[in-house]
Amino acid sequence: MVAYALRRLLGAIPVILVATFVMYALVSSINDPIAQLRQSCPQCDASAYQRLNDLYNLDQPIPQRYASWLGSALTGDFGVSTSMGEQDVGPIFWERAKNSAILSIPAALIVIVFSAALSIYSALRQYSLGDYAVTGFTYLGLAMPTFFFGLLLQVFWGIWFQDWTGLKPFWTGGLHTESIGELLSSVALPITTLVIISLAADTRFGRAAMLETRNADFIRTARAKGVPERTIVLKHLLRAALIPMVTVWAITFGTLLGGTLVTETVFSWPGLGRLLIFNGVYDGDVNIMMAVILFIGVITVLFNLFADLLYGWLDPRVRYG
Amino acid sequence: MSLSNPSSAAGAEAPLLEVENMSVGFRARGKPTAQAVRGVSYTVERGETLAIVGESGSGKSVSAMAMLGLLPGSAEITGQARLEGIDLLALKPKELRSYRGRRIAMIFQDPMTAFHPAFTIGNQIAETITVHGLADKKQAMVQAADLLEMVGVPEPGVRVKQYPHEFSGGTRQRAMVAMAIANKPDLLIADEPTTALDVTIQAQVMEVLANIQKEVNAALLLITHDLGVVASVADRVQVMYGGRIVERADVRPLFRTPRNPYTRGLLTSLPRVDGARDDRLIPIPGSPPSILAMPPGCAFAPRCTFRTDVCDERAADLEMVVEGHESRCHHNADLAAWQPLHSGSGS
Repeated sequence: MVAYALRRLLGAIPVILVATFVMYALVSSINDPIAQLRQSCPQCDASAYQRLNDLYNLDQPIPQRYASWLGSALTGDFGVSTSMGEQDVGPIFWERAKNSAILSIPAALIVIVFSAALSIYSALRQYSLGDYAVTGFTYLGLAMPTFFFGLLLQVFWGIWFQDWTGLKPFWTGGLHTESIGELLSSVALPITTLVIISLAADTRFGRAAMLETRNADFIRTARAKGVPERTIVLKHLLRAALIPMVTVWAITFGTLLGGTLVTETVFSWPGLGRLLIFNGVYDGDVNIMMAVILFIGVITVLFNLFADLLYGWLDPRVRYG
Repeated sequence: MSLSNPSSAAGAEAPLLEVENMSVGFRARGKPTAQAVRGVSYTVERGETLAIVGESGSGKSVSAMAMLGLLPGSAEITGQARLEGIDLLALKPKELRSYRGRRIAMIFQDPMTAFHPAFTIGNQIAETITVHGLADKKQAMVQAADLLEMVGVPEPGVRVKQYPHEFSGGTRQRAMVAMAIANKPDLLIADEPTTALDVTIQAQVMEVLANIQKEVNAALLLITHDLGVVASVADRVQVMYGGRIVERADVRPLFRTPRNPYTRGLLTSLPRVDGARDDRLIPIPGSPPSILAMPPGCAFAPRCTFRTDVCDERAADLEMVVEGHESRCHHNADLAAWQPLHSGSGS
């Protein structure tokens, strides 16, 4: 299995190289720092253009620029930002990645635990009132746009609840790190938003997996052996239904870690999604974009690999070859 | 194979299992209740093999599953099923659980899907033992290997650590038999144990099952539609049709002189190795009734060549036609003169 993991990691290298090269070529082709400077600073003289040229190697063809970007990226140097006053991209990126992780890691863990619990409950009590409630919630969660649910939370906690009680227990936007209490109060609503949206999809999938497993022959065999119901659910049923769910969870985890643009925007959260779109795409900042893209690529590959390894660990029929 | 009738040999001893007037219906919203089993009564003596024969939907599996509480919640079960005098149908789920796998064990049809794919065979056999608190995990694993050896699985020490997908179909069914006998149950219920297997493997598995049954002295309730299997291992046979028992006899009289028109139709529709080459197989016309719309009278009447008006009006009772041979037919008296099967009647 270790050999398999290493082989997969090696196989991931060309994937990431190709993905980043394609992205670099596209992003560099449509963003011209010289043109941007000409527009933002018509009075700038030739020395300003020369300085820009020196910073970004603009006189070289794209493959060469990619190669030198890659060379420094491998040493942890992601270049300087064009839009944020020639700051190093590295510290900006890591700060934003940390902020994203503050939301995404707890959200992903909550999603995993709750989707497992709700799936089991829903499948064991199929067509009960509780099952209908869970199913209804998943439909609502899938159908409701993220921004709408986020806004709803803000309106509720920021306006209505305050009007009724005079209390405002949660921040409705921004990252506040003055104390643990402030931090918890500022992550509560964005995490809730992320959880609701991902939980809905994962629970629907989990319910289907549990239902299929619940009626499996081997569950009947366990029952015929005299295994108590509780053990059947927690050992036999869960173990078999976990196998398909692991893949979905890994995807959820990877997606959340890579930044969540809409939620970050609604809650003014300084995370990776906003860094990529507002500082990267809107301001035409190639180095910012590439740092985030590289990160998303690596995260995606790693979590896929992780899911595959977990899959093989859970299901003895899977052999690594 | 012994053809002696253990019920007469057992004498005054009470039967192991007495099923009395058991009915099973399935409720479904907006539909009439589906009557899968309609008033079935039978007994199983210690150590005997009773075969229940019937086509799909005749209620043969359902009647066995009902005893063990393995049916879904939509099943409505009435009647009694007494194991040594204790009515299984009246037990609380927790009490019934202590019978499952310990006093009564089941062997299922498809060994491919009946084992959990993510646990080793040894683990699953051992679980049958540990779940009833009969041994700790370590001892149970040793017993699991012994059990595999008993059913003729080579290298049991290696195979206990393997997963179901590493077993062939026949070996897996042997492992299923090993799991069933793990706690030396009084009653084995085998639900179509060979249906999913290759013909060559079928005979081996049946032999293992029959031998092991003798070894642990368990009664065997063999549910099957395979008359060949029945003829080779059963002591007594009961034929089910439309949720009722239509004929019951020792195995030889049942095959030699079937009394019920359905049983007779079943036997004449089968090829025989010793039959004349030009003997034609006679199929039963029509198809079995839907359990949602059972005929009010005899369930077989619509397909029966002996049908008269009384057959459509009410079902006949299961009557003794000769000592130890019962048949459910309005025309029992007329049919008594039937010639023994396959003495020229088929051509």
